[in-house]
Amino acid sequence: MNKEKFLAALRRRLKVLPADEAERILAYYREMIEDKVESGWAEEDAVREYGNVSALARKILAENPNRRPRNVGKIVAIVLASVCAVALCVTIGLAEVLKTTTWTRTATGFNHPGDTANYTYKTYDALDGSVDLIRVSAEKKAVVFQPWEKSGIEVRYPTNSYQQYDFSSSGGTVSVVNRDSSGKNLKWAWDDSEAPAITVMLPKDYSGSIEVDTTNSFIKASDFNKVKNMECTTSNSAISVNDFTAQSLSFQTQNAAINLRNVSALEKMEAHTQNAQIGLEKISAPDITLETENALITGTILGKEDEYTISAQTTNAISNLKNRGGGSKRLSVETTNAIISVRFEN
Amino acid sequence: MDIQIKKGLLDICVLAVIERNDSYGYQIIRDVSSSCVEISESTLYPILKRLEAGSCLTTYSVVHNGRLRKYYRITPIGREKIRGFFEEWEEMKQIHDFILREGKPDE
Repeated sequence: MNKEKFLAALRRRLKVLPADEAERILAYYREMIEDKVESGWAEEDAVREYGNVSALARKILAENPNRRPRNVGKIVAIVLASVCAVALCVTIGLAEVLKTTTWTRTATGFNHPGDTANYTYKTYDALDGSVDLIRVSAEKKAVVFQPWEKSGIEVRYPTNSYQQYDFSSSGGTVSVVNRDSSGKNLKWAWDDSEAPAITVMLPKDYSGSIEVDTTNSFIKASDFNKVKNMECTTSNSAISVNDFTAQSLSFQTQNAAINLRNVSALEKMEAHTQNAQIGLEKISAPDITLETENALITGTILGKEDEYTISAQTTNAISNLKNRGGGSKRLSVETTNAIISVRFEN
Repeated sequence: MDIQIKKGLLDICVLAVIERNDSYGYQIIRDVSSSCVEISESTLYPILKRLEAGSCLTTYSVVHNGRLRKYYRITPIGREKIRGFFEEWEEMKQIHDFILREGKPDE
């Protein structure tokens, strides 16, 4: 990875920090890399020294508990800017259609029986142009990715007076940003079909990347097999992915499960959570990292145990995996206070 | 080593390096790693942040090859902190010697 890609990847993961703190940290790492290059390091080597960007970001976030306030005023400015961007895109020839299909659903929060939130569902379509990145950043919305027969991309989203949405489609990137100012902390059951959900319909052979982050609600994706990189980040809610193949996959949540079934990464797969299980069924990748605390890692990996160099780090845990070297593939499993029960299957 | 002790010692190591000469990120990593203990960039950042928050150092920027490099300079409070470390070290040494003496059979 080169310096700019590394810094961009790090910047994305530090979005939750106050903007000035994030900028200071990025400037620090940029300066460090540039000084190393000046003293003779190759840029790629300097970046590689940092290892996994997600792990580095987690370390940084652990040292810095401050969080960026999510600000409605800023979103208004972004929406205005993106309206201008849309006008520009139409003249450049990237066609977008803002269709409004309206139907009303009533959703009830499980922990707040008297709490009903009315949503109107609308759609946003990005029809033309090749898309190589879809970015969804939401609050308290489930995000679901589903394949469809069409060749374009459609985002179906729930809106009401507490929601701000900002859509953009330019330079090959489709971006959806949702901010929720309802101030309610609705806790949805992890498989609640009534949860307000942003559904992204993609062509079956979508071959770009996906980045999604949301809060307090689940992420689901299934039935894609050409995706490049997918990164899913949520909190207090599950990530469920099945029948999915991508070059690389990264899943991050807390207090909720990560469930993967028939999921395969051609390069690398990582799943991180705490206080919740990682459930695997027939997953496969040449480089797998699984990490949780106070919970269970269980399931099956396709392949032979002796193909893997295994590093199983557990504290106060029972693990059926033993450290071993000499494999052409890599499996790293880390947990505390828990059970690891992972079998290999051909 | 106990992690709390290590954290405190690393802060002093970094301060000591800056006390000799104003320095910048990569130089500090090299100096501390070569003469004291291996320190990574991700470990150094919170140390510098903590020292600055405690007024033990100040920062300034210098243009270098068309980019800005951030330099760190020790303050009088920072020098005090190093002095305090030496005093504590003396005290720790006395306790260490005491334990050693008391532990030995009579000669």
